[in-house]
Amino acid sequence: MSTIKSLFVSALLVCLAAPGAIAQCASSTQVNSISCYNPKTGCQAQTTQLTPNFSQYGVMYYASVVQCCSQIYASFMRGDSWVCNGSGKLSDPAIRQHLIELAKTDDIMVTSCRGEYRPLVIALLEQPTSTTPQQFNPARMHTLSGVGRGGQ
Amino acid sequence: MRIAFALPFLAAGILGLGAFASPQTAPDPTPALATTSATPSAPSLGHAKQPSETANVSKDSSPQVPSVTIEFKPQQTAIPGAHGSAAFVSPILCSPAGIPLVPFIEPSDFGPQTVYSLDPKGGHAFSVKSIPGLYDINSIHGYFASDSLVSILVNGTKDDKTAPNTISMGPGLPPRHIYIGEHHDYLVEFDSGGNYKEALELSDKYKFRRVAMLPDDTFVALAYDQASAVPRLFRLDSGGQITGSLQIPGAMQASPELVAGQSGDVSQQVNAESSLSWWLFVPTRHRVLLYQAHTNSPVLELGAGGAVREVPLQSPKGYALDEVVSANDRWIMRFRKTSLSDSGAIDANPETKNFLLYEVDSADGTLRREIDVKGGVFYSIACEQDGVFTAFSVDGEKVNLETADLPH
Repeated sequence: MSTIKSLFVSALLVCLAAPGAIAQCASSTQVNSISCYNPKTGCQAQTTQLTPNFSQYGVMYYASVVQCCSQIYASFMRGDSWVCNGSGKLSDPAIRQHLIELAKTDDIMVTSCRGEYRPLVIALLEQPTSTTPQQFNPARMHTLSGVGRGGQ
Repeated sequence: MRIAFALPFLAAGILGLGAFASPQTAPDPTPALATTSATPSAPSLGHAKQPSETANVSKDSSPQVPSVTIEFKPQQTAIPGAHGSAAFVSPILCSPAGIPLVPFIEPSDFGPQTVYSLDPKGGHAFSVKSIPGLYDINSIHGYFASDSLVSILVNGTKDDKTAPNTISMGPGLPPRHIYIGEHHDYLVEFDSGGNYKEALELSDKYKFRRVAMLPDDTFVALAYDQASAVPRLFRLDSGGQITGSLQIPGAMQASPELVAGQSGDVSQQVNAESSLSWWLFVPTRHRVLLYQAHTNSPVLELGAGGAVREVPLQSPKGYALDEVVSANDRWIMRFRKTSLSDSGAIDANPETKNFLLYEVDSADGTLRREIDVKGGVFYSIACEQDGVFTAFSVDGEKVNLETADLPH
């Protein structure tokens, strides 16, 4: 119980960095309806629990909790950004190479796990994340949703 | 290297999600019937109204619909072998023999739930946490029970390769490995004693979200088609291979999320796929009912050979369908007040009227009678079998069954 309680005050950003997690790193979620009961108080209640289907995706989620009849249960909540490249850990060679090729002629912006956009070349070099927005030409920008393997 | 970005003091964000919100207890007068359409659709499969059903009419009930009162009584001591907890994923499904199967949730567990069968002769656990040769199973997408087996739908991989980094799930929790192999949807099958039998790999073309078994021992599956951004309903053979598709009525696909999912925007498509969480299968009347929780959409009854019958639902005014109870001879439905928030805990004590239980006419979807529950186990009503409701109560880890007779 104390472990879960501690998540409440120090929630954790969970950002997965799996290979190929580019176009698909926006993951769907499984929303469960939870029924709960507390025999001491007679409480009966219902709430919802969210679980990302994150498997092979790169997903930004916060570990979170939900409370039901005085008990606390694990859950997740979405991060602000749906797209996350895992701080430059683009380990799929094919996609990495594809992005590098694109970057020769275009500005490729990716999001860090903090939700900040930064140039791909910087992400690949694993340089420290800039805390200021990067200047780029939107006309030359590829969105990540247009790159990679597409939906399966 | 661990990927763990501690974000201190996200309490505001969590509170925004509704965690730690107090149960909503808004009182509500006895509801009147909704005036929404409830026209009979497909031919009736035969459910004659019984002459004695106006008995036990409550003083407070709506004049249009009679009500009956049921009272749960403990049937025996704790079920041997069953380990319960104070919460579970609903709805509960039952086997054809009327044995509840409950996915209990442990408070500190970020992993998939374990399904427990509450057989009075002895409970069994159906766990996907340690399936031989199958890794990275994070949640259960659905489950069902036939006479001889229990099947659970999961996503995972048979490739045990992991990335060098791990994910921290929080203080004191073990780090999570990142499995980098190809993932698939699997239907994991157990015998009725909880022994793992096999894992059927499902097609990679679709994201499978629900599976159930039809009366002819074939499967029906709900999936999301990412290529065309629509839900699909498939028939599968006993090996999990797609053998055909079934039409999903347009009214069931008219939700804002599914419509927006066709815009081409990735995040909208993700939301559309996620919205299938509220599409549920439940065994009723020796068939399978597909319904959308938290809506007043029509329901779809699926029979042997893929026979399909769409039935519009009449809900109590101000309420929407919450869940359907497993039943072998009728439709029992729980409705949820529509004014309730989608976040936070909702008080489910019967006196709050946040949830109402009704018997619904399976011929035309109209309300037949309200079922008032006396006792203390409204939250855990699991199934109805030949006029007898089964629920359960949990005391620590001990689980006791309770039953109540439904008057004619």
